[in-house]
Amino acid sequence: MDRIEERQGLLSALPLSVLMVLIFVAPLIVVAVFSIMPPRVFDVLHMPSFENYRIFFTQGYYRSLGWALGMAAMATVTLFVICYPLAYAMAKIFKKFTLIITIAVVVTLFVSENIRLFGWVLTLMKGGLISGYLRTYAGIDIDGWLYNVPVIVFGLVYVYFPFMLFPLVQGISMVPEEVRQAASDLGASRTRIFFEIDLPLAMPGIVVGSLLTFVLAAGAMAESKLLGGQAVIVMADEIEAAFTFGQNWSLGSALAMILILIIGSLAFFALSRVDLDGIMGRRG
Amino acid sequence: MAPPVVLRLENVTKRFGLFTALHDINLDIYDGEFLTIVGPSGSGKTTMIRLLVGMDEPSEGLIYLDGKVINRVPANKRPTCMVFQSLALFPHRTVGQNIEFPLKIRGVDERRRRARANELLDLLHLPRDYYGKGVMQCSGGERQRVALARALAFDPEILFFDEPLSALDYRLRKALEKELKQLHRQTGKTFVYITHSLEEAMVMSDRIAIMRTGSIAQVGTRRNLCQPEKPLRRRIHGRGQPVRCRGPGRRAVSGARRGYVGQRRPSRYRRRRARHLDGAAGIRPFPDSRGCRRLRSQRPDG
Ligand SMILES: Nc1ncnc2c1ncn2[C@@H]1O[C@H](COP(=O)(O)OP(=O)(O)OP(=O)(O)O)[C@@H](O)[C@H]1O
Ligand SMILES: [Mg+2]
Repeated sequence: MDRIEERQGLLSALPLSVLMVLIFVAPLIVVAVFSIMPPRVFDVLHMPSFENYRIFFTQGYYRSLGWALGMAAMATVTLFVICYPLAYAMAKIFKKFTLIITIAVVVTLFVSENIRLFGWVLTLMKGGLISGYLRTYAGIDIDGWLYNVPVIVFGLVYVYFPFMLFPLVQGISMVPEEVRQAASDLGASRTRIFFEIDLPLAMPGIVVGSLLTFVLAAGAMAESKLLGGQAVIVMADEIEAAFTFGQNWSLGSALAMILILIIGSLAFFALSRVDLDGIMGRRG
Repeated sequence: MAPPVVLRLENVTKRFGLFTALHDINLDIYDGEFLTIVGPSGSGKTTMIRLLVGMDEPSEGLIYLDGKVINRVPANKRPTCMVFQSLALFPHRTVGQNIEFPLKIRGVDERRRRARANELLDLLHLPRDYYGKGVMQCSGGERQRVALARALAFDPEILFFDEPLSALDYRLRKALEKELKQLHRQTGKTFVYITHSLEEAMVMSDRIAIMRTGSIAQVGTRRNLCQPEKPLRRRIHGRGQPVRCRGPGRRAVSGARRGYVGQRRPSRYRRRRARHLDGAAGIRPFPDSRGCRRLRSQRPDG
């Protein structure tokens, strides 16, 4: 009887599985195959070569990768530090106010990322909102804050704020209040409770939030383009350039493969270590 | 001469919003006594001891510990410890780590912690190889014992138990009641124990406080508590027999064996009348002793 049900299950999962393969796996395979073609070819009927991967190391592309991962890491850490107290308050202290904050944060997502970033460009640029006011009312002349690495990280922090905040709220609200009280009752100070109870029990939320922000930030390019100008070039930028201006699909594929492999293995490693069922609320 | 008062509640009131959970409580807890708080569900037992261990602050009134007001002293600075109704074990830790937690906080070195944890495992009849087992893999009763062990490891001056034995089977419960009682005698610490079961209270405690809807209806020793208000006792006890107690004498004991605690077995007429009254009050009688001998002997409480 079990077997019949199993077979029916497999059968009903079949259409979706086929669709998933077509939509997700097939393009990945195409990219993977392209990445081992010689540079500047537009079909896959060539002898494979690893020339593109050599180019990655010899022509300085690894620097773009370094920037992308480095800035993503900085943004993730900054976001964690900013979001944790807010998430804690939203999960444990604020009551109706939590809903207001949630709505306020979600509403920003209704406006496209590029437009919001342009808003910051207008605010921060030379002769923009802030420097204009400063010149008029304080008599200080400044150059604006755009086109450097910190402002790119700021942009990443700004754009990916909700992706850190909400998983953290979810994670922290999974810490039972009585368990914290029990720890306090047994003599633990607030710091001890944070490290011994809060952090480990909220870990699924922390991992999911950090992973989301890191992965999205590592593949982001609008921030570095708009706010960063040409200060640094990130990996996503290089990939786009290789596919468009460079007309070098196989190089672009190779760069994409490298990014996918790094981020994919990171995600796999992180997710294998947390209990996702917990954060989905499926645990009893 | 009465022993000194360790904890004193003076006109303590606790409100949650508009709802008054505790109303003008006055209670002295003496050094080294075993005090049991009995009362129906929702009568404010948990709320009261949460105030005493420092997890909540009273809305009004004062709490004294050794003569000093401790209203605003946080839980981790009080020499009190509570076993939660929900147990509140650390789910990400093993049994051993749970038990050792208070020792670790205090900076006791690893070998001594381990030794103490093993002692406590033995004391509570948990196998020693549970040390490395995750608490979430333990059964309900095992968890309760872990929670007890953890509180004992903390070694507080006053121990609070919020229905710690409710998930245990009858036999183990009796055994642990005995252990607790013995522990109380050995350590000479003050024990405050919450239970639904008047029987448990009668067996274990020096004094009993009966709570009802946010206030203390009666406090007294086993003996002078022998005329509790009938409806209340019926609510706790689940049966409507009137209590007539002349101390735990022979007849009372033989009554207790038949399910009547601290009292002799009522006459047949009284039993029938009580059943009739219970029926009128909507209380379902427990299966009668006839034909239910075995069931009755395993019955958790009265
Ligand atoms: N944080 C809270 N907010 C609002 N009301 C509460 C809160 N805690 C307890 N109460 C209310 O106070 C009353 C007493 O609760 P308490 O938990 O002390 O009962 P109890 O005697 O321990 O009952 P039980 O035997 O079922 O555990 C209940 O009516 C409960 O609804
Ligand atoms: Mg309770």
